[in-house]
Amino acid sequence: MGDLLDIRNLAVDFMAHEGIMYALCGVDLTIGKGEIHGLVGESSCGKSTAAKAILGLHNKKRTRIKGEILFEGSDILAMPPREVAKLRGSAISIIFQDPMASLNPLMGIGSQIAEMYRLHENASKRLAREKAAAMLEKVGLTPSELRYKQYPFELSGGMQQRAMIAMAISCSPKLLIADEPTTALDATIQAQILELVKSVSDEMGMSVLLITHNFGIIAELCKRVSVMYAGRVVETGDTQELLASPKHPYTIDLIASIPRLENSSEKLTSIAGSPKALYEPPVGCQYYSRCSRRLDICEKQYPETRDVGAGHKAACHWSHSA
Amino acid sequence: MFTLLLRQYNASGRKKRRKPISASFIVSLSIFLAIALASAFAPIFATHDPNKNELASSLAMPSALHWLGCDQNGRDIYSRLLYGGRTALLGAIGVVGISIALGIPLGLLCGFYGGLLDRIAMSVCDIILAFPTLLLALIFVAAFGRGLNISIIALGIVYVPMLARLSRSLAIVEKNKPYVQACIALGYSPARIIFKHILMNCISTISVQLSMDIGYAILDLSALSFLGLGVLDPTADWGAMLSQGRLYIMQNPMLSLAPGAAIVLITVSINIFSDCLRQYLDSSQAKLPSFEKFDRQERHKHG
Amino acid sequence: MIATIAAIAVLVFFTVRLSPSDPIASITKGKTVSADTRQALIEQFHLDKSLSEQFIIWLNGMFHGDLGESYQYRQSVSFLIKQRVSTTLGLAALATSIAFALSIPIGIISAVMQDSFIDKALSVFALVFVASPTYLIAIAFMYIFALKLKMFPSIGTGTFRHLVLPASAMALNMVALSARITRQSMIDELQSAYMLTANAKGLSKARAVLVHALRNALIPVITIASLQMGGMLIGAVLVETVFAMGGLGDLLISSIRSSDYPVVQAITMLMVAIFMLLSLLVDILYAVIDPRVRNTA
Repeated sequence: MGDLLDIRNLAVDFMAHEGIMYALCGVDLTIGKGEIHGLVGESSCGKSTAAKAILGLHNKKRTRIKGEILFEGSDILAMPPREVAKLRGSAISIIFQDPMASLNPLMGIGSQIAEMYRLHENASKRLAREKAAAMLEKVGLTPSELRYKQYPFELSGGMQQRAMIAMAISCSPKLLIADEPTTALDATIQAQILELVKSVSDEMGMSVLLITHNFGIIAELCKRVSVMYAGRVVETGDTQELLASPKHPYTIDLIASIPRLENSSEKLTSIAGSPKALYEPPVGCQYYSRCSRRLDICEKQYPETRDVGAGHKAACHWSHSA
Repeated sequence: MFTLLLRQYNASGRKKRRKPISASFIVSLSIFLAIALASAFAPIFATHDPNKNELASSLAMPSALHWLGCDQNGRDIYSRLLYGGRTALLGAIGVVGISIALGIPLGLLCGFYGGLLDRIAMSVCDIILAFPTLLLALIFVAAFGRGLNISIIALGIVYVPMLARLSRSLAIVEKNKPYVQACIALGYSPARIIFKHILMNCISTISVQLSMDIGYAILDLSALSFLGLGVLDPTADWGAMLSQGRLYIMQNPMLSLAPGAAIVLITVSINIFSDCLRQYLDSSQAKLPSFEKFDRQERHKHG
Repeated sequence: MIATIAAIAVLVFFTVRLSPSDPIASITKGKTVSADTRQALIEQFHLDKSLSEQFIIWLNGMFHGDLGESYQYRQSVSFLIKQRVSTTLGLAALATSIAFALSIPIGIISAVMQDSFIDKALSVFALVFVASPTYLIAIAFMYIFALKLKMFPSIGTGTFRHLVLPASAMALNMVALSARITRQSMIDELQSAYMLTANAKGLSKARAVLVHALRNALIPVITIASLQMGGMLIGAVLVETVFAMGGLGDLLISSIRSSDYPVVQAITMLMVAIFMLLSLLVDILYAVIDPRVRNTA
């Protein structure tokens, strides 16, 4: 297969005050080369956990990770830490939700970008500086001589996120993970940042894993999308196909809860209840308690993931039996 | 509606999820209580009159009769140690008591009302804080004469600014919370709002500071006594015992060692206690075991 | 700042002069003197003037470098201080250097190896020495290294060897406190979002910790250190007493005991001034480290 990233049965457990928290319970996810892949779901469904697991950013002492994360065919989880560190920043990069907190407050943004070239490309100080300035130019932080010397606190939220993007793409990674990159930004800035991510992806042929809880963003940018619920991917498919004919009740309910401009007279629906963190290994489908289409079997047995169309998969007893 | 809001806030402020109490919490508290009780009931536990000179046994080494030996005047070190504990603890309570009585009301009032009172009180605090810790206490002692009472008052005053600043900053935070606005809307008297509601919600943070202050007060009082400015002979005090003991360190090291160990022991136990108290009150600081350790424990549990 | 210094000068002068003890008795060391001599002394030390006049004379003198005359030594106070100040400052400087050289690496190691055996051992060490009064450590050092092992001189001053034990004793207390603060501050920084970024960038752990986290972690350490500087001066007083070093601390304590007010006032003002100067330096250091402070300043 031509997949860049292939996550198989990824499980992540955290040590928490309440006990062991089962954050991910077997996630399957594939991202093709150059593809912008959306990962959508409610808060605390495990989207960010999955993102951090790809880069091995979890605290090793308090986290237990099982499964496989194949990047270009080799398992990141089985690699020695030194090898994983080499991938970080050069092959796989990440940008976070809160750029203000994610940039080092005491370091100029230019130096933070130049650091990448010094580290991954062994560039000389001068070359790193020039390349960093060029990168600032590229993400629209101009004039670059001024921006280079500025500190994060001197930039607006949107500019900080541009700096984060510049840093993340500086060494032309093959995969960019964007973990809710616009949640902390104003609506007008959001569009600019997403446009930047898309243009960079097109230009560099870079795959993007775009994590969000906003279906609107997914519909606009992503070729394919995966829907997560309570630590599992419940449905995956081409964005258009999945939006047109969702198969999993959670996806159906989620799409029904999006406000639409064209038929505003239609009543908005919401999903009753909220997902709760798992402190025991889950049995059956976690959406059971909130699902309007549940069957008896759903409570006892987790459904297998099956093809439900061309490149469209879902894990649901109801849709399998229909 | 306001009362409901108020009740919720007060409940959320006070009721915390039950957390296990750590072993070091219990150990440190027990050590502290043991020293406190031994000092409080010094007349029962003491083997000798702490102030009775027996020149015949001057600088005697530890024996069955004198468990820790005797000082240069032939006074029993063990008994003086117990009475010295009284001086240290009562002195520390006095110091912290004065700082509570002045610092907390001052801080809360300044934080709640702000304005001129706040400005004046805080500049006075700034002036006091411009002195290196013990120096101001030294000047008070220089002016009003040596002795335990003057030292306690002097240190008490020196401790006020820190506590006042802490309670002031807490009061400012609390003042802007909705429950205080609700109290004001309900027409509660300012005194009731400040000393009942705001104080209740700050008390846990303040109590951590107070428990630490007890430790500092013991150290500072003993330092004054060590310099010969605090407790005066013949009253038993650890700092004063050390000061005299160091002159005879080659003859009987116990003279310095025993009061020194007592000071370290009680201060360590107070410090651990306040660390644990802080962790107990602030859940984000509680420790989590690693998976490795957890798995080991699980295996152990299941044989 | 000038207002604070003025307020401190008033506070120091009037607190000391509120004392009920008789200055003449301090000057004559308790001996009875003839009425003529007594009158001469009263005039010489301006004791016939009102308190506020004396205050003006004292203040005026300070501006001209004249700190008055000591009661007990009958020598100029500035001469007495000049003789001793280098001992105290040398002691404080050496102790501070030792303290920083040790505490920051210890704090970093403990934080990076949090909850390991080394961290626990260092924490216990810090806990014990935070709780040990400086003078106790000084006595212990004197007993072990000077009296028993005879590695260093036990009392006196003059050479570097004389400074080693007192400075180490003073430093140990500071090391323990700063190491605890460095550790906590470092642990907080290691959990921050930008450290996650630093990891995601693929930085080596050493670079992430020493370049990114350390600078941020030092800010609270410096704050506490500036407060500790005050403690240092008092620590010097205590340690000088133990090692009979004849520095400013010794002079201050003997002056308090013998009600030698001109000396008490002068040393107090000097110590407050040094303390304020150090606080000022710390503010400058903040600006060097933190661009956010630089901007508002």
